[in-house]
Amino acid sequence: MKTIKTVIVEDSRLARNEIKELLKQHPDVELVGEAENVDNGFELINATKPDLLLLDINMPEKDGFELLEMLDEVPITVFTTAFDEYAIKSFEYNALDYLLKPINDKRFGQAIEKVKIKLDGTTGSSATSSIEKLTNSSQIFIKDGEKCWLVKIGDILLFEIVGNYSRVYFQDQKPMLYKSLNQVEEKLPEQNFFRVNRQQIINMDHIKNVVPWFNGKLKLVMNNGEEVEVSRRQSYIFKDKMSL
Amino acid sequence: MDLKNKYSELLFWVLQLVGWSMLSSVMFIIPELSNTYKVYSFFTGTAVAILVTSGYRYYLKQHIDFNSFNEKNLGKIFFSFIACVAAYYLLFTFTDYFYELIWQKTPLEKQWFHENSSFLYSLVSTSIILLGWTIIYLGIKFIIGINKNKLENLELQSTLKEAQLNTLKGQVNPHFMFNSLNNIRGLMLEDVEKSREMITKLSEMLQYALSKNTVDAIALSEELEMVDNYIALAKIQMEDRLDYQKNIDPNSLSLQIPPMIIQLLVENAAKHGIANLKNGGVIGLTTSLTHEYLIIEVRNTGKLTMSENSTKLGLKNIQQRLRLLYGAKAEFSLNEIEDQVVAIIKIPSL
Repeated sequence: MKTIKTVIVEDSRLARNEIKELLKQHPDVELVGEAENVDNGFELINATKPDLLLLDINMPEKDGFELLEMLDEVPITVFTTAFDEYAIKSFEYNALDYLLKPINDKRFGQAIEKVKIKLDGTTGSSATSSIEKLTNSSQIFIKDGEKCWLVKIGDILLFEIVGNYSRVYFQDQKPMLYKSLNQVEEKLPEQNFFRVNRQQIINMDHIKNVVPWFNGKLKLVMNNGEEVEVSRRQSYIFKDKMSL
Repeated sequence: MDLKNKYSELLFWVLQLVGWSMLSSVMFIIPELSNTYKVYSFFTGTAVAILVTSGYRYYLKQHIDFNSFNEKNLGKIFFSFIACVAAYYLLFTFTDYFYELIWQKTPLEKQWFHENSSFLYSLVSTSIILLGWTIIYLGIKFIIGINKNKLENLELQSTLKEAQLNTLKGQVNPHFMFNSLNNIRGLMLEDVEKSREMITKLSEMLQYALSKNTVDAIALSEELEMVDNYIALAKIQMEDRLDYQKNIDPNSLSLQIPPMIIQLLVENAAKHGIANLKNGGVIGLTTSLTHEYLIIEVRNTGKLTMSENSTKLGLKNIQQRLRLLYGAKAEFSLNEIEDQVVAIIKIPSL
């Protein structure tokens, strides 16, 4: 049986003990490390690539949300907090689980079950592989202003340059991601993400229509109605890829 | 307020005009006096009286604070009253002299005045009339003042109650409470005796918060027990990151202070100071006495800017309560001094 690799990031030692005690009842959950602040947690997560992150919100210097922002790929996250905080309500998309401290054993068990279902759904997730690329089932964390989203890479239609940052299009949302388009491109899976021009990267799984344009260029209509123009050079490569 | 002032101003002038003209018209019932004299004295008498008493009122308004009346004010009233009688008498003599110059009194009038209006007689009657005016004026002033005070007192009481309630709400900080319960749950796995102690401390904190909300003042020693409980509970959360040092003047222990004030400062120091530092820091509590003041100082490692995103509700609450309870006699300050945040409260030690 495959174990669920888990990391705890929580500043109180006793609270970590508490969680470890709860984990004893779930032998399929394997604790691979614990950290008492965000910076240590960041290194730990990058080193161990866990499946599950049990994350406190209030911690010294940086809070749990800042940790998610720092990560390129976000593991399945369950927040642990002492009070029903407004921060949790700021999640717009892909509602993630949270547990109120002191944690009820039964609620904890339910949360673990949910995690298992999620993990089974990710077909051959490369969470354990050492390849730096994200997969379509990888999640990224986006915080724009007061709102937060956890988005599956496969659900994203389009990335677009806005100054030094990128705008991310998924469903009917388009928040800002505070990373450059080049940074984003390095991490994206190559089989379905394609740089159509200097400004945009599209997800080929979300193309609705391909229209021939002038000068050998192509125009693509995305599933959300957004239209993008493929540069001439990229059009050849695109046709090749799609075997048009 | 402005409208109210205008209204009372109008009332004053109407009363002045009606009152004095009625008093001056007494002249009309004296058969010995000629009509010319009656009319002349009616107008000049009314004018002189209004002029003098208005000046008198102007002086009283400028120099007497009706909200904090004392013996000094009584002296001021007495001397301005004497000046007023003198002015009244002088002006009256002047108008009388003026009449003599232009119209002259009839022999009958002269005889009447000789019989009825000696120097002493007019002085006494002037004094009595002005004394009457003074009593009426001050009486009205005091009645208005008492009503105003009553209103202000009510307002003060209700604001104070509100501030106390707010303290309570801020006090039973749910985040702290649930964190403490969770930590105690974890502590039970390693030290049952200490866990029991922590539950008692948490209960005491809750009891204190729930029972002291209606009290204006408690002994400093009692508040310190509460603070110690809080620190003990914060320490099982932050452990080595929190270092607490206290330096208490034994003479300050029995002094009365508003409840929750030190508690709120220490809580702020922990929540916005130490809790934000990865490597932790120190909270220092010092009380000292000067001959006039009790000085309470809470300092913590950290910077003021770290707490900037907080709502500062606790600090506002402290300020509000100090102002309501001690007026301008209490002071509160919050500063950053050499990488420490220093909060100082000065309250009268009497």
